[in-house]
Amino acid sequence: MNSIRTKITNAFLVTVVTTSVLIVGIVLVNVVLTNKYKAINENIFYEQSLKEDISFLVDDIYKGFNGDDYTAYQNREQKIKEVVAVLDTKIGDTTSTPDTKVAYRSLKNSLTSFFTYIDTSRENLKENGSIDGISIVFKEASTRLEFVLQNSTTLILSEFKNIANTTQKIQKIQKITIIVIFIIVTIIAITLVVFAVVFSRKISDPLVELSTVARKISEGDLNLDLSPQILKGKDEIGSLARSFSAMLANLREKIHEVQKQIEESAKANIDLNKSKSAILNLLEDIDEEKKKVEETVVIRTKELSAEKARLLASINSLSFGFIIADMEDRIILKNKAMTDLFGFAEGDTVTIDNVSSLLGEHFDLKMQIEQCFKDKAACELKEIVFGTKFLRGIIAPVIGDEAGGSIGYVFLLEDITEAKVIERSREEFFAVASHELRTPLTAIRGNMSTFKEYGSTMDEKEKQEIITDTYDASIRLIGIVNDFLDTSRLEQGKTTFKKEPVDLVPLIRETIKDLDTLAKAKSLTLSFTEPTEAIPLAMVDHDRIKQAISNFIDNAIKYTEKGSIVVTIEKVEKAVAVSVTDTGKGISPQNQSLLFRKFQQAGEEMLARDVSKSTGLGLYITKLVVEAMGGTVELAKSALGEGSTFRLTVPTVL
Amino acid sequence: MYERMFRLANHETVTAHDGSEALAMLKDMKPLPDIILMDVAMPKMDGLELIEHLHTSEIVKGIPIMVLTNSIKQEDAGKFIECGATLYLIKMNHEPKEIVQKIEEIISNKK
Repeated sequence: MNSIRTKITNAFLVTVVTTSVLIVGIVLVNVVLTNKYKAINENIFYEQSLKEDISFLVDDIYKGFNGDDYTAYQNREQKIKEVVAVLDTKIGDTTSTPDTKVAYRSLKNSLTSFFTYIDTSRENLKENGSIDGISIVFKEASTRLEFVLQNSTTLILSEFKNIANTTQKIQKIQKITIIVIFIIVTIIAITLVVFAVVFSRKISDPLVELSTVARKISEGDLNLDLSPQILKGKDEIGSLARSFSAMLANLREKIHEVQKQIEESAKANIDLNKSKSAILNLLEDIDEEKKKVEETVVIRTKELSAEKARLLASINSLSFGFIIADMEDRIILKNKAMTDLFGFAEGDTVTIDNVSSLLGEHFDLKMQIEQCFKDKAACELKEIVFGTKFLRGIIAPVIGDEAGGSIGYVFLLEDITEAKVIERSREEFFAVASHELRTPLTAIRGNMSTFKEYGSTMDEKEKQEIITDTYDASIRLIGIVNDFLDTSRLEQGKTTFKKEPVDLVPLIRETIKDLDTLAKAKSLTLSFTEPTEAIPLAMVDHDRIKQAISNFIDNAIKYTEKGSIVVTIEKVEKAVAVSVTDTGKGISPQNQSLLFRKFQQAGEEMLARDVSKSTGLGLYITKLVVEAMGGTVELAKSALGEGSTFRLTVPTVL
Repeated sequence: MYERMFRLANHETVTAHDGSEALAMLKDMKPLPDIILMDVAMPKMDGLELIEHLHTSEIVKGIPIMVLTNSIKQEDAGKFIECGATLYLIKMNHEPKEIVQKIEEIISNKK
């Protein structure tokens, strides 16, 4: 394919080469002519000098004849011969015209003949020596010289003619040069114009046509096509045009197909419409019924989705954890309460395995689930201990098929810690009421009754015993009643606390002194580790802080069978901490969480405890008292069989 | 208090401070007591546990057991009777004299 680029390049190359050849030719011709002109001028110079020498030659000969001295003549002859030798080479080349060459040969011949005559005459004169002889020779010589001069003049004239010719040629060549340059310029200009015209024909016109056709097609006139000469083009535009044309044909075909389809579907539509109207007529009556049914369906759907939403909301709003799982322990539905219960964050994967492992080793959830399926009945999970929480759960199999097989199960889990605490409190209360209140009252009544019955037969010692017994019982009763009242007042916030700076170190010493008897009675060592640092004053109620520390030590004595009780004091940030460490039996994790609550005692079985022990209000009262003074109480550490450390902190004087 | 009262009523008593102590005492006791009195709430071994031990013990077979307590758990009474207690009394609701009389009745019935 002849590309446009190739065409442009070719045209340009042809122009440049032609122009260059012409210019080089003209320059060469000029150089040749100029050299010829120069050579002719040089010839004329030598010929002029030859002519002069020949003129002087007459005098030289005269002198030679007269004086018989031929030196000047011989010098002149030598010089003439040298010039002739130079001219020989010059005339021999192409610069001379044939006329010049003829003239030169004549001159040379006549010169040779002259020199030969002179030489011969000189020899004769030497022998004869007569005057007559001299004048004849001289006359003859002059005639011959005259001839030589004529020849020389003819030569020069011939050379001048040559020069004139050459000059004329140069002028002619210059004229031709100007004409040639003018022609070249004209040719270039014409070429440019032609090129522009051809370019527009070959390139712009097809492009213009292409864009026109494209625009018209875009406006919707699809019947247009490109002219044949564009399509035949062998260059890029031709190729583009053919592609464009092919595309156009394709497009036309597609449009044609689509139109056909539209027509067909329109036909089909008409048929369809006919059928439709027939069906519509048929359906018109049914439609009314259908509308009614649809309305009912809409209402039912709404009711159903509302029902579903209510159900989901109910499940989510349940205060207890809810899980529905399938037989493979995959959780199908769970509520927030369940995930909250186990402290799962949103997005955590909750599986039965997770839950089971969280519930720990004390409780086998998976085994319970299996048991449930075996029994085909809901089973209740009582008192699962989960960390500090008490949980109660139900696992109920979901009976899914006719044969009574299970398709999954529902697992409910309720945090009953609070309920458990309340229940235990209530049980404790009744136990305390029945056991603790009744014991001293029974003692008082029994003793008094005994006294009444057998008083007359008793001795003094027995009477004294009964009185002491009764008195001790009444003291215990007062203590219990006071604890109840104290608790009640503290709970209602009716107790007023003083805020005074108290040095806890002497206060602890004093408290230990008070309780030492009690410790000694159980063979326990009660000691105070004196602080090594300065302990700041605490801002508390003197009597109340003493009550609290005393309660801690009292408790430690009660629950320690052997070993020691150590009280320590230390400075902590903006507070003073007092710790009481015993070597008692320790407190199990279940009981630790209930420790500071109302009516709790550390015993495994509350009714099995020593009657002499407290009402179960001691730690509760301690907590209320210390917190009322802006402090904290805690079980710092405890392990079964290793003892416990109770710790309280109270604020310092600022 | 009861100890004193029984003494005044001319009865001999032996006292144990908890269940295990009681069991140890009974093992070596000669002659065996006419009646065993016990509370429900006791340290170390609770009343129910003790009575089960007593009930299965060959040594004390046939000795009436009387439960005297201030516990108000009503279901306990049934359990103790089941385990062989002859009588279950709430201490506070009875005069010591009444209790002595009841004990005397039980002992005479047995004889």
